[in-house]
Amino acid sequence: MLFNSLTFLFGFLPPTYFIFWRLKTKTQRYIWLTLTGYVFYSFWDYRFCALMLFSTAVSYLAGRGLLRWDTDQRRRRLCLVVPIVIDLLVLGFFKYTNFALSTANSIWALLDVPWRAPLLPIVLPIGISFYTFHTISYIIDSYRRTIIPTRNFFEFSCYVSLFSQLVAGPIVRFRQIEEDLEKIDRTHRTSTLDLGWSFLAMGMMEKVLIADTIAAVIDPALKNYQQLSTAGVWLCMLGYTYQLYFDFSGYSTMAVGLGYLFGIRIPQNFNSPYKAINPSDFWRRWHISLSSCLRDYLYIPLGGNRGAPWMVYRNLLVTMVIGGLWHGANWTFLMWGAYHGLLLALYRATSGFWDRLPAWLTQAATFLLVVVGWVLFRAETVEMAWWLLQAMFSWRSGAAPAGSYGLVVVLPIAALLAHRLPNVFELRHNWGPAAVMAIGVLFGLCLLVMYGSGESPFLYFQF
Amino acid sequence: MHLEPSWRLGFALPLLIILTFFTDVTLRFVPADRLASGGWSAARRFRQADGSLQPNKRYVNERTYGELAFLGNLPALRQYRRQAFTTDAFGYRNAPGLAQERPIDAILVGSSMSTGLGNSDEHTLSAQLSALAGRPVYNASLITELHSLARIRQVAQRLEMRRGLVIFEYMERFDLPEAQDTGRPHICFRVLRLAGGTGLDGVCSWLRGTIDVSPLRLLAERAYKTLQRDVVFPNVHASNVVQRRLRNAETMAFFPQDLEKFYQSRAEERAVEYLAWLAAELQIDNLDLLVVLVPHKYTVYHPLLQEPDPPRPEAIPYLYRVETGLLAAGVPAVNVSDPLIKQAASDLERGEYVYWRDDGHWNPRGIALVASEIRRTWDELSR
Repeated sequence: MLFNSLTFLFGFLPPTYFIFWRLKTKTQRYIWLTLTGYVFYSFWDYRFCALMLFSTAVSYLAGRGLLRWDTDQRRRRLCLVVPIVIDLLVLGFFKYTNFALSTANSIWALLDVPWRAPLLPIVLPIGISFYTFHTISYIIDSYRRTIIPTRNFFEFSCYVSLFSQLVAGPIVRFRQIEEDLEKIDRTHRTSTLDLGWSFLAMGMMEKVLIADTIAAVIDPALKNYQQLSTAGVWLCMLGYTYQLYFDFSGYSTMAVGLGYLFGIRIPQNFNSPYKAINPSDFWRRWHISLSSCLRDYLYIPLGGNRGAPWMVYRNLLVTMVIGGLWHGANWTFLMWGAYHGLLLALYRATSGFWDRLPAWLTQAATFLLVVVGWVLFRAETVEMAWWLLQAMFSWRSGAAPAGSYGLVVVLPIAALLAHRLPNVFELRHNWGPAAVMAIGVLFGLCLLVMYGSGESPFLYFQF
Repeated sequence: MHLEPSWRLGFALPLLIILTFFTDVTLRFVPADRLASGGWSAARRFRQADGSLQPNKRYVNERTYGELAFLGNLPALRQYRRQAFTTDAFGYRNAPGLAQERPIDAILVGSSMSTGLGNSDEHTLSAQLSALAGRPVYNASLITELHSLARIRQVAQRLEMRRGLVIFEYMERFDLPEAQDTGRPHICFRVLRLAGGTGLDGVCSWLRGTIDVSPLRLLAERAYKTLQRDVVFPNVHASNVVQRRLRNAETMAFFPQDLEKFYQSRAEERAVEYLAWLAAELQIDNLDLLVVLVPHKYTVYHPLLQEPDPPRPEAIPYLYRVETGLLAAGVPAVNVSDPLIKQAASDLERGEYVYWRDDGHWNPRGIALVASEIRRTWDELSR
C-alpha cells in the first residue's frame, strides 16, 4: 500500500485517523498505531510482520535490560552488542547474502575455479533497512544514555511500526518523537490538522505530478539506454536527478504530514539539497536522517574529524561506502558511496580554495558532481553505469527519449523548485482561500493521475 | 490569519477525497458499457459463479475496434466496426431463443475465437456455421476456460441433448490440458452460499462486478492513455503488441505470445492424448467430438511479411502433428491452417484479410472460411 494510492486514501487513512482520535488513553493510541502499522506493512507481505515484531521485541528487551542493569557495565555492553548483532545479522541475511554469493562466484570465475555457490531464493522484506536503523539507533542512544528506554512495549512498538515512516523513512530516532509520544493523549486533533494536510498535499504533488511525470519518460528510455544519444543520456540523468529528489522528498514530506495528523512531529529529511554549495553541504541537506545517523553512529565512533588528515579521509570513505551499501546490495551502490566519500575527502582537502569561489559556481559544480554520482545510483550494473558515463562525456549519436514534451514542461518546473524556490519546510503553510483552491485543484489532479496511471511505488522502497 | 473552516486545507482536502470516493462509488451504479473495451468486457463484468457471462446481456457499439489496438494504445491501427454482443439466459453468447430450440445439433467450445471476440453476433463461428449447415449450433465458449468436460456436460444437459456433436476449437496458442476446471467458484460465491445457498449468486455477481470495475478509473485511464502517444509521454503500452508490415505495406498487429509460441518446439502427444480422452468421455453421453485446429494469426501471416521473419524451428508444424495424431486415434479433426493461409495470401493484394489487422481474432471473412471447412467435415461425419 502506498501513500499515493486510492486504497490508502480511501480505505486506510480514514478509519486509522478517526479511531485514533476516538481513543483516549496513551496506551490505547500506542496499540492502535502499532496495529495499523502492522496492517499497513502486511499489505506488502504479511509474512514479514513477524520479522519486524521480532526485531522490535529484541530491541525493547535490550532497552529494558539497559534500564535494569544501569551500573553493570558488562551486562550493559551485552544489551548493546547482542541486539545490534542480531539486527545486523537479519539485515545482512536478507539484504546481502546473494550479493556476497554472487560476488564470490565472480571471484571464482576470475580464478578459474569451476564451483559456483547457488543463489538463495531470499525475498527482501520491505523497509527492513529503515526499521533496523530505528531499532539500532534506539539501542545505541539508550546505551549512551541519550534517552531513557521506555518501559511501555506499545510505545516502543508504535515508534518502530509507525506507518508514516515505516517503509521508506525518514529514519526517526526515538528521542526525536519521544516527547510527542509521551503527550499523545493530550494532543489536540486540530492543532496540526491544516499543517498535516498541507504537507501531505505538497508531498503528493512532488511525487505524483513531478517525479512520476519525469519517470514516465525516462524509465522507458533507460530500459534501452544503449540507443540514447549523448544529449538523450544527459536529459535522462538530469531527469533522474529531479525524479529521485522529488520522489524521495515527496515521500518524506507526506510522512511528515501524516505524522502531524496524529500529533507527531517527524523531522525534516531534505533541505533543498540541490542548493548545496559543496559536497559536505549536500550531505547536510540530502536524506538528513540517514546522513546524521551515519555521522553519529559510524563516522564519529570511527574518529570523525579527529586525527591525521588521512584518518579523516578514511573515516569519510568508510562511512560513505557503508552508506552506499545500505541503499542496496549492488556494486553500483558501493561505487556511488565511495564516489561521495572521495568527494567529501577532496572537498575537505581543498575547502580553502573551494570556499573562495563564487557561490553560483560552487553550487553549479556541486550539482554537476551529484548528477554524475546519480549515474552510479541509477545504473543496474557497473557496465550500464560505465556506458552512461562514457556517453555523457564523449559525443555519441542516437535517439532522444520518446515522448519528451512532458519532460520539457516538467523539468524547468522541477529545476525552479529545487534550485530557487523555498522548500516545503521553509513555507509558512498559512494559506489563504486562493492558495487553498489552487492546492485543492492540484491535489484533485493528483487523484485523477492516480486513477489513470495506477500505483507508482516510491524509489526508496527498494532500499 | 483566521480562515473560515471551509477554506482550510484540513477541511478542503478531506472533503475532496470524500467527494472523489463518492463519485467513484456512484459511477459504479451507472452502466459502464461505453467504457468497456468491447462486448466481452461488458458482459464479463457481472459474470456468474461458474465463469459464464452476465445472462441476457445486450451490448451494441457502432464504433468498437480491435483489442490489439486497445492493448497497444495504437489509434492509427484501429479498424472501427459495429459490434453487437448478446448473451442468453445461461450467460453464453447466443441469440436469446436458441437454448429453447430443440434439437440442438452441436455445441461449440473453445477459445476467444469461438467466443467471437472482435466480431458481431451474426459473424461468430456458431452463427455462421448454423446458417451454413442449417442446423443449430450452441456456442458454449468462454475465453477464460478452454475446455471443461463438466461444463460441456452441464450445457448438454440444459439443452437436453441426447446425442449430438461437440465442436472443440483448439487454437495453436494454447497447450492442452490447460485451464482445468477447478470447480471452485470465487470466494464471494462460496461465502454467500454458506448463508443463502445458490440463491445469492446473483448478489455476488453484482457485488463483484461493482467492486472490481470503476468507471471513474476507466475514464481516467483512457484520458491518461491519450497522453501516452509518444508526444507528451512515451507509449509504454506499445510493447504489448508486435507490429509487422505486410507485403502490401499495411501494418498487421500480433500478440507477442503468438510469436513466442511460433518459435517454440512443441510435442503433440499431450494434446492428442487429452483430446482422445475427451472424445471417449463424451461418448459416454452419446456426444461425438470434432476437433477444429486453428492457427494463430502470426502463423497465417508469417509467410506474407514484407521483411521475412525467421522460419519456425519445426519441420512439421505443431497443429499438423496434432491432426495426424488425432486421426490415428480415431478422433475427427479438421485443420484450418492451410485454407486460412491460402486465403490470406490470395486476399492480400486486394487489401482483404482473414483476420482483423487491429485484433488477434479472425474477421467475418476468416470465420466464414472456417465455418465452411467445419461444415464439410460435419457433413461427412453425419453420413
